[in-house]
Amino acid sequence: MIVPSPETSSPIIKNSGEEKKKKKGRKVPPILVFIVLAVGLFGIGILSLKFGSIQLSMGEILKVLLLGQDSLSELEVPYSVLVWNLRMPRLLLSMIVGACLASAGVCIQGLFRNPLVEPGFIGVSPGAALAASTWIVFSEKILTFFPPELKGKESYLLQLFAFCGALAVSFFLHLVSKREGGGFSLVLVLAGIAVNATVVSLLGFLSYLADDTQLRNLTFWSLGSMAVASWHKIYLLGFVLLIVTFFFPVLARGLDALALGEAEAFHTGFKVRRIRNLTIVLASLLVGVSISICGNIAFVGLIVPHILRTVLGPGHKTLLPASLFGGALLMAIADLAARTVAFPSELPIGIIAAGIGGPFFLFLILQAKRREGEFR
Amino acid sequence: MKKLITLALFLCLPASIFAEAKDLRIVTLNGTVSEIVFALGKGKLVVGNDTSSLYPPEALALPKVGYQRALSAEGILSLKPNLILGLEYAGPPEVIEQLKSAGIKVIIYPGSPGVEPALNNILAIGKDIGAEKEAQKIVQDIRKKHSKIAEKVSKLKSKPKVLFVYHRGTSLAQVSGTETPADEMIRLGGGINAVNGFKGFKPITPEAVIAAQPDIILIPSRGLESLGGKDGVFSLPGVKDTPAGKKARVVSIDDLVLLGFGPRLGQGIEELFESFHSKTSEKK
Repeated sequence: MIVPSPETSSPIIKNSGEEKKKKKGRKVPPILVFIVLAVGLFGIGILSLKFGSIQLSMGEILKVLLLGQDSLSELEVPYSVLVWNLRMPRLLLSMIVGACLASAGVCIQGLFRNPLVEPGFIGVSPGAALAASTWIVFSEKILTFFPPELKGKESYLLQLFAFCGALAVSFFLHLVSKREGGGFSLVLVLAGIAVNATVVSLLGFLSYLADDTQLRNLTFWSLGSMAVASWHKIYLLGFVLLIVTFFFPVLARGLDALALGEAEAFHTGFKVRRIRNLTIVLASLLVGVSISICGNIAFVGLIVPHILRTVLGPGHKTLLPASLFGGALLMAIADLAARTVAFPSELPIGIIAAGIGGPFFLFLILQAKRREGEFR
Repeated sequence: MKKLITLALFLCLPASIFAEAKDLRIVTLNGTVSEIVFALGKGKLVVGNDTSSLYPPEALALPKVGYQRALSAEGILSLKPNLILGLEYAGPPEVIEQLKSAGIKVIIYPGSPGVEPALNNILAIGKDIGAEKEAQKIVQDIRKKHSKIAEKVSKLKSKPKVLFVYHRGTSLAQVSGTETPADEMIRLGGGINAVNGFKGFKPITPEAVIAAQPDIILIPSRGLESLGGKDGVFSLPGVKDTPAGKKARVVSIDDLVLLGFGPRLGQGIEELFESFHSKTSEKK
């Protein structure tokens, strides 16, 4: 059994910081972290059901949840509709999306052995968005012989394409970083920038080809929104997340082993290639399907694992499930803010995520720089 | 005494029900729809609208529920509407479904440009908010103005080539091809769209502008403002080397009058015809 060591999972940290980092180690018992996350999720769930156009009391929420349909329906908008059709789908979708993106963040950070990468800015999410956009524009322009339910934004092929887009970018970045011998690699980050630039350019080209409605659908990806929540989408994405969680034990052991370095992992008996490919496929699945449903939301995969790694330590056995809950909590908070801050209009959730994530990222970089002097 | 009170209450009851039935609370999701509701004299019933509702000034002062394509169900519900009116662009579709599921009447009208679709929308909205007579009046007025201009247009021996330029700020400049509100309006005003090789809007290139050889540059007034007036138009690449540039012919009309296909459509057609043909007739 491989025991992960903190320093190997943070390859940007140079030797001088290792002692301190070791002492920091795992200072909070995981069970406590999970309890805090669960309480947080429950709390934000109640707040999300409570606040909005009409403020509901705890009693009313409970009545609607337990007694269901017609328990409280004298007003213009029946409370059951408010809770079951509007607030609950948004709450659940934002939680599932957050869980997917944060788990994918852990996987990608583990895979590239770099705690400062995230699906959003190494190009995996933009790759998914590009593939989805390509499908929207071309399925209606070129594949005119397709039945309408297979075309455009409502088709499941959209999710499939987004997954392929994320997969293609992940594999490409993996090939690039492998040549560099893994670890923190400037080449990986530069390749991510190159992928992002290419995606922006291709999206620009697509928006040139798109008609008005398609154009509106394309701009949706740049901002992200939970307003599209429906039970159907929750089932779809929830199913994807469920499948991936089955692989969590395998992923956790594999990513812990990879943290030692590919050669070391291989020598301790791990099928490195299989673990690597599995991680790429599962992370791309999570990112691709989330992005195709609710737009490009960056930084969740960075913030959540980072905070949790500082309290739990770098072992993936606890980090993966904790990030799943942490991501759900962060996105639920972001969505509550998105729909209440600028009431009665709505802020795009991607703006909120980036608004929190950007400064946080900068803080991380400055902290690492101050502590360690410089990046390798 | 008791009987008297019961009787009084009984007499009050129908009146209150009647008052409630008439008590529409409308949210409009599109600038043209807002304009129509106000033109029909029902502006007081509107409790909120979208950010494209810029006319009349009273509409501007109402709570905004976001842009028509990026709506939020709860935001709209907070205004407690019982009637929501929008054009087919309103969305995302999931939000429209959510509003319907909340038991609110949501009516979505077609958004295609053209005189007949515009008149149909005015009549339909009139019917839906109980202002049929007013709607008829507006429609008749538009028809009268339209047919007067159509007759004049049919007698024209030559029509000017018009280039519609859509401009915002300093960077985005596009020209209108076919199947756009601008294309339709140019035809109604007795002009020919100078670019017809493509549908929708395309970014402007100096060569394309010169090749189109427009006699007139048509630009909505807010676009003209963002360019800093007519001189700004002539400073756009290529424009100076066209007949329009040489004769300094720029036509500018209020955005919603020109492109809204709403209650001021007749006025728009008239204004366009006059500005397209006043100078040519002078020369004759």
